[in-house]
Order: sequence, then structure tokens, then C-alpha cells
Amino acid sequence: MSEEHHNTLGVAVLTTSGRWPATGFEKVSLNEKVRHVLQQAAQHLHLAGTDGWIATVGPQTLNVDESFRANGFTGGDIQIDFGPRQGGGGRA
Amino acid sequence: MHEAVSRQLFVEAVKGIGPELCEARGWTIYTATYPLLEIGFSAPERQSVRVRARCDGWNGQPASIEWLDGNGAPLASIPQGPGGQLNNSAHPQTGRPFVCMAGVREYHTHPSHAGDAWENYKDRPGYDLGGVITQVWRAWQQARP
Repeated sequence: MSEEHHNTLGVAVLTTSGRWPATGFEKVSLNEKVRHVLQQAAQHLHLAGTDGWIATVGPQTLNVDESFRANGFTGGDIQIDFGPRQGGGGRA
Repeated sequence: MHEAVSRQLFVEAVKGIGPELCEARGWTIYTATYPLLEIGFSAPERQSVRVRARCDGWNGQPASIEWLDGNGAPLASIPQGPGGQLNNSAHPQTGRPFVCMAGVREYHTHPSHAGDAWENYKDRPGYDLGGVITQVWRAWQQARP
């Protein structure tokens, strides 16, 4: 396998406003910070104000300020579920 | 808000909720026809539920959320979470358990939150229809089974 294969993974970002990329997976470096990819997705999906949203892969909540590698990924394809946190309220 | 405008906004709001996202979240879409968006929530070792979002007047007014069991019958009580957003007391207008969370009609029409208008939220990130449903789902995830 190529060195590039060992240093990249495929990423798709899923939101209630759509998926980025629309089909397939975006190839990114394992050393890329998760936040940068989420920002790309937000731009393509016309999402503003996503700071503070939660990014998860299965049961794992990602540290968006770390790289994919630091989040434990070593390659392959992943789907990131990206959405707002639970809102405030209560006290009625 | 004119119904045609509301209907168009609803259609735009639900079209981004794709099958991959539903699979990842354990969501099942039962209805996505204006004015109703009905989504089932499921998770391992949890009793499945449905939320029925009544979106008449969207987004001039927020969606009204009703809780149903897995078969679509109204729930007499809903699971309780740490944040108090899922409220089992009778809402003054519906008489039923309700979501006490900004972005949901029952919150903004409750006397305790009369000063916190929907207009304060409707254009904020995360308060589009999918965002509100996501917030309700997260509250359900954190609730006791």
C-alpha cells in the first residue's frame, strides 16, 4: 500500500442540512484537525455558527481541536454526525 | 405566516435529513409531509419513542412537539433527563408532557417563559427544524431509560 494510503482517511459529514461531500468521502490527512474539515463542511452546507456543535463517530465524541490521528483514527472511511448541543430550558 | 411559504420552508428544512444520518442516529422517519414531521428515536437498551413535530406556521412559530410510543400512541409520561428539558407536568395549553426547551412551541407558550420569545432564536444556528429535533433527540439520549 502507498504511504499516502496510510496517512489519509475518507470523511463524510452528516447534518440535518445535508451531507458533505454529497456522495462518497473526502480524502483528508490523518494529521488534519477535525475542526478544519467541519469548517469545510459547514461552508459547503451553508451552515453558520457551528462553534460548539458536537461531532461524533458512533459513540465517540470527537475532540475537534485535535487531529483525526489523535482522535484514534488510522484510516478507512468515517461518517461524522455533526449537530447542535442540547439546548437550554427547563425550570417551567 | 402564509401557508404556502410555511410549506416551502418545511420542505427545505426536511430535505437535508438523509438516510445515512438517520441510520447513524437511530432515527426512523414516519412522516415528513407538511405540517407533520414524525421521527422515531431508537437506541440500544432503550424503549423506542416517536416525536411528532407539528410545524404549522413554520417558521413564524416554532414546532409543537408531541411524544408518542413506538406504535404512535401518545405517551402519558416521558423519560426524564438531567437538564429538565423533558417535563412530565401537564402543559397549560396541551395538558400533556412537553419539551421545555427554547425552540419548541410548548416552551415559548408556557407562562414561565412568556418573556423568551421564539423570535429570539429562530435565526440562530441550531434552531432550524433539523437543529431543534437534534436538540430534542440529545435530551432524550441523556434521559433515563
